[in-house]
Amino acid sequence: MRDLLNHADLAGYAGQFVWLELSYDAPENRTFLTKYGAEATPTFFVIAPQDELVTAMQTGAMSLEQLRQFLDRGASGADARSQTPADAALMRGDKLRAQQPQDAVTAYREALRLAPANWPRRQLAETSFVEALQDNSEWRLCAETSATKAAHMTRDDLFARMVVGGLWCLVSTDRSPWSDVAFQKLQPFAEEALALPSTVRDHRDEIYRTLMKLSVARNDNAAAAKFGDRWLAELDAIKPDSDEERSALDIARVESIQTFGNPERILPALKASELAMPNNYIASLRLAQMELAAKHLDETIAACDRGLARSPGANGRPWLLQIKAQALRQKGKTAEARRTLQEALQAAQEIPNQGSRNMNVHSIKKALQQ
Amino acid sequence: MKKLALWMVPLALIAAALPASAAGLSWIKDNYSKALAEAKQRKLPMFVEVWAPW
Repeated sequence: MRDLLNHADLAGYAGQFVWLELSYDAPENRTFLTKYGAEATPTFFVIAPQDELVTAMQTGAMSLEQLRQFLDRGASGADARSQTPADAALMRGDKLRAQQPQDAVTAYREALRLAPANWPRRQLAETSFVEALQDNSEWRLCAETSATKAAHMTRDDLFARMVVGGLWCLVSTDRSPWSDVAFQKLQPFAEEALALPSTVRDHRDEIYRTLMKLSVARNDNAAAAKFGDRWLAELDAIKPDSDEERSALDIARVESIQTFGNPERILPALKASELAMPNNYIASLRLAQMELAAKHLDETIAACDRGLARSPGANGRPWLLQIKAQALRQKGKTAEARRTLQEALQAAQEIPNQGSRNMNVHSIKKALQQ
Repeated sequence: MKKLALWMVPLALIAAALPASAAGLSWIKDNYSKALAEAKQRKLPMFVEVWAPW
């Protein structure tokens, strides 16, 4: 996604916005992240400077075409005169989405009610509606709406987003007769989305992983393994042209194995990446995670130590220490594991984001009590 | 979309630092106040990307 923001085709937008990038890790961004409710990455906002109100918001990856549409929508949203009532309701939904998903659902529903027959943003509004239902934990309506609307959509990147939204809602709920029906309807659409050249890597990742989760929930491990193999084969076929892309591929590998699969399958790629990126602590961390999953305890500890020597920062340090403590405990080195957890607890106090900090402190304290 | 609630799982297919922009976009890094002041002065909306290095 970050490569996309440097795409030469966006040059026409250079003078139309002030461009701001905010790292989730940086303490100075905490006020913004809290105020605007950014709870996922990547998240994109267009903000009008006069009142600091959001005129467009999108969570998750976009294709180049979607990004262009998002920028156009954001720019026109800042100029209320160019809006139809349906556009205004769509913009209202975007504004509300991060912090008031229930009201966002209402706004998107209103946008669709007000939309003229030939409204060019209908598919966007339908997709945003499903995503807001997901945000609002309305799993059944989300999945069923996704399955119904996807059937009639143009096969493009919004179609893929619609399918992704529906699949996540199915993953989020217990298996039931209605969810089985919705899964049967959505699975062919998922395959269609995977066959589309416009489906970006982040969405392919989400489709494969949700299909794996849904297969496991239906006791079909063979199907989960097949989806995992397909995704890992796709990732292996990509030759990274930068460290950024190498990291992206490795993250996808790890997430795939964390969903279902044998960690041994991806260890060679992760070891190669750690060597190729000698200053990147996350490469060591990813390797440590998978060494631990493969029960290679000495290798886990060694990878954590290498990561800790690579300036891991406020988020990385407690994370590495917790992985190391798990490996030490599994080796029977209880006292050393405890010392490492105490070190992790101290490091966790420095995590800038309050939610992450609290979650880490809680889980480390819980581990210390065991 | 990828929620940050499960922060210990790598979440986004992005990483590392932003390279020089081929699109000629001039990025302000981690400074909302500066971007806001510039947007007010130039009467332009702000495009904000929230990203994570992991």
